[in-house]
Amino acid sequence: MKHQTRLIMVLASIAVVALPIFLIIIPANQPIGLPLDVDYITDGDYAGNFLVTDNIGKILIVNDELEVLWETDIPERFCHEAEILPNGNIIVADTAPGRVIEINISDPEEILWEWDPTNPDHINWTELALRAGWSQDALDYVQNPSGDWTHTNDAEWVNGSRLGRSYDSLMISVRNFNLILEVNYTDTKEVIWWYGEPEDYDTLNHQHNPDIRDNGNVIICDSENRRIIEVDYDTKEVVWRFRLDFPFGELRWARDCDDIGNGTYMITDSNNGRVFFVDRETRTIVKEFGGWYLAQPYESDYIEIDGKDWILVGDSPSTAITLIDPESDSFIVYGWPGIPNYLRLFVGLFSIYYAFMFLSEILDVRDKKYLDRLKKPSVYRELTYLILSLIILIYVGSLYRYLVEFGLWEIMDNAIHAWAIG
Amino acid sequence: MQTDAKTVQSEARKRLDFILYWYKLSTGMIFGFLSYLIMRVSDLTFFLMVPLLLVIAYLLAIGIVYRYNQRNDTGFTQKMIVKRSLMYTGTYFLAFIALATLSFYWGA
Repeated sequence: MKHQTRLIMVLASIAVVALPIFLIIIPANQPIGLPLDVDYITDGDYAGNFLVTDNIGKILIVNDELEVLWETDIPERFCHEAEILPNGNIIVADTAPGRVIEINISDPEEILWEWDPTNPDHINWTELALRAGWSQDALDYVQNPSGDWTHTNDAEWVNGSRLGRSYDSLMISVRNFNLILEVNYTDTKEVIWWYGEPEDYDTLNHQHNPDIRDNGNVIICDSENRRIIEVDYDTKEVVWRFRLDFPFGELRWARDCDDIGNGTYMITDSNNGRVFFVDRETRTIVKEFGGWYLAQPYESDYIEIDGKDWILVGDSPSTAITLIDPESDSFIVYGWPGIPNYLRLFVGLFSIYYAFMFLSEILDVRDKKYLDRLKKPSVYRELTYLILSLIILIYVGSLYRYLVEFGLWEIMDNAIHAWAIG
Repeated sequence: MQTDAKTVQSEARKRLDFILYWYKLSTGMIFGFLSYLIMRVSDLTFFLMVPLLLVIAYLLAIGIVYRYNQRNDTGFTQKMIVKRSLMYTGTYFLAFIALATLSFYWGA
């Protein structure tokens, strides 16, 4: 009993001391905090480096040594997405205030362009609701901002000349409106296209990352309807959909889908901790990556570095950037995964405790063969506890995703939003 | 005579502990496994599901202890029955979390 108490004290002390080391001191010594979106820069002065959207409220350009080459802290905490525009500037989906901003690459303190959903000069929600024929519930929602009202999570630049237009546009995902808007970026900020409707959860339900394909269709991660859809831009009809049906597996909060060519889509299935390739025609999973080494990937890009293909993954709970080799499923991690490592340490410590209890119980039984010793109630109890704690240890990432999937995300979102707006 | 009665009660309580251990372990495993499936087909969140299942497991445990108490000489009062039913709650949670995690992982 004395040894047991001493062991508990030692293990608890390790857990307490490791907490600030794993979650504060080590992360503070690396530039990337909680990287959501990570892009590989292919052109311009910063070619060959990574553009990182740090959920803590920073946009950074870092090299593969994680040295910061460029940084801005204009975005509020909770920002989700950044992209380099053809003019070299950076467009940011600044989630907490819901705005989209263009930051000058030459002056990280300067905002060159802004679309603010609360500014009537940028968008008149009542007029749009009436024009679109939205329901009264939708009208009530857009007219009464409160809490995490918009949760703008993506802004994608659309090349107008490719579509035969005289202007370029931005495809903006307003998650909590269940709405995707396309606004004129070049001059008027006018809404030129939209899909979805506030309070209508059948069309879209808290979507992420809309992309325009080369044929003009829009791919959308309809995350909480657990599907990926492809919408005809002109008719707004769903021309392709992908889902996995319960109980034979399903998408859990898929937040990115990219067309990577050859009829293959790459889907980031966040709460399953995986990235996989899907054949568009047969709707079958061709190849799968992740599982144990990804915590909750947000977005993935299929990129080429020095003639070799890689999958670049932003995985915020891992506090790291991951590069996966699609050929071998091997991976490189930039940064130190503080949160998963602390969880592993924590469950590992109570596995050590149960291992000690099991061993001391089995050594207490002296006059029997080892197999007979296992029949003693106190021995098999400790063995059971040890096995259960090892199961949790092995699948500790799944435990986190399980909690997130079934309600923790809402609590986290509200808390982070409250923190973001101060 | 009094010592005999105490020995009988002590043996009966040990047997009850044994039953309770296996009951909490197996309900923890079953409920943990089912939690993923239940949440998949209903709108319950984890934060409602976990206490709900725990209360169900606890009420069943009270029933088991009450029935055992009627058939055996444990010397339990009503208050002790309720208190005894709380035993092995840690076992229940450990089993619940382990199986919930496993079923979530394999149910992808």
